[in-house]
Amino acid sequence: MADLDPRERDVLDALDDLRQPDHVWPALDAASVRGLGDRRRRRRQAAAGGLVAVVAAAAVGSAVLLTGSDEAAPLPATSPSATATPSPSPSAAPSTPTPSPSESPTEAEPSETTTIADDIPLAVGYPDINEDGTEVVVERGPGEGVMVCDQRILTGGDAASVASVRFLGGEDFRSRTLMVFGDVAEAEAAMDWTARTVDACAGSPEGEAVTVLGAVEGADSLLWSKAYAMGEGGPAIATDLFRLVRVGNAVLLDTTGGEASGPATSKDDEQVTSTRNAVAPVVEAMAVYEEG
Amino acid sequence: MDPAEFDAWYDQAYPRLVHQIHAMIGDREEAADCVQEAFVRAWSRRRDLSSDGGRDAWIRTTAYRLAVSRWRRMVRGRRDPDRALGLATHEGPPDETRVAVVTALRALPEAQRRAIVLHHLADLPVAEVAAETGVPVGTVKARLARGRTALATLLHEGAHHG
Repeated sequence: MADLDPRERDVLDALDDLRQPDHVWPALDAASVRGLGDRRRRRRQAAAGGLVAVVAAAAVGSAVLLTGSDEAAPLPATSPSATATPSPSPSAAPSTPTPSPSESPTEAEPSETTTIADDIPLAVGYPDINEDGTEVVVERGPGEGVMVCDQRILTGGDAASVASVRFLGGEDFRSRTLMVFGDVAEAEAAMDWTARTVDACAGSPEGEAVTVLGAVEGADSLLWSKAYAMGEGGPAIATDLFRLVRVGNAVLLDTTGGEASGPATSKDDEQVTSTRNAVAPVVEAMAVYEEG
Repeated sequence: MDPAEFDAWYDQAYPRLVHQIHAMIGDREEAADCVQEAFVRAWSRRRDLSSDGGRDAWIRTTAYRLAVSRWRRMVRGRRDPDRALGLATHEGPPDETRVAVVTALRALPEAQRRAIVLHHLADLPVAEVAAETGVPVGTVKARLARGRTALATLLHEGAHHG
């Protein structure tokens, strides 16, 4: 050890000095910690009891997601009209989505349903309680939307009706926003506009961590993911997955943030399939908005 | 694990684990919150926990992951930088040298910082550091060497600028 570089010796001394912990008194005594742990265990067991019903519903809803709710619907992300193809970019914020005849040549009658029923199972599969002890509740009015290259979109501010819910867990974040538009054309325009906005973001320097999966779950779906790294060039520590599903004049935004799993690349990716199963009962309930 | 065993473990391990997580993430209060939350989870899953020395590693890994998740949410603007339980720990005034070392540690790449804390502060052999972080032994050795070199530079610069 005598031939150590003096500066390295300083480092070892400093680390040695740091080795002995200052005494820290816990904010909670051991009995209180056990009490919280017991409550956590009871909640987990209660949640497991409801899982069987959710899985059964998910099996039906997954089929809806993968086949599309209306196979005859036009592909929303590929507008047939060159004049209807703006080029949104993060720096030039795309305008609020508005329907135009050239963007939606085939949609017909306006949907009769523009409200959201109280029993819509928007929070299905979510725990009842957030990590901080507050209740997980479905709220009416614009949601928090998502950030796409520093631009907040899909809050539902332009929809006829909006309901949203979010769960803040210890290691994950989930949210769903159901937006019901005045008619099918508006819902399709929202999908189309979002697809172009996400594409533009992914193609920009700010969107380096964004991976676009596109309509891998059917013509009326849009998926993209965003990875987070610890420090510049560091290892991925988290992946967010964003899913948009349209059924008639309704659009559902489903977001999940979890531990690092790398960018999702296909509909068979584990994070994609698990979240698809989780959201399937909601998509199934959206059948009330189906056109025709 | 019975309550008496858990209580003894908690009282004895809590300070050192907070200390280690603090050195990894650079935030003392957040470290205390995350370690406490990890102990709550440990008790709720006590049947799954082994009775050997792996318990500390379980708490350390869980607390570290919680800290990373909270940091990530804060970066996204989804969570104010508050404390999950809203409870403060009680501690004495910070020692200047320790603050300088923790500050220098924060400047290291995350992988190097974690390796240094586990090896030099938690006293884990290189092989156990490798097991806990999921990388080969050679990688841990390289991280330790690079981390110490970077730390030497940072502390040296700090001493000359302070």
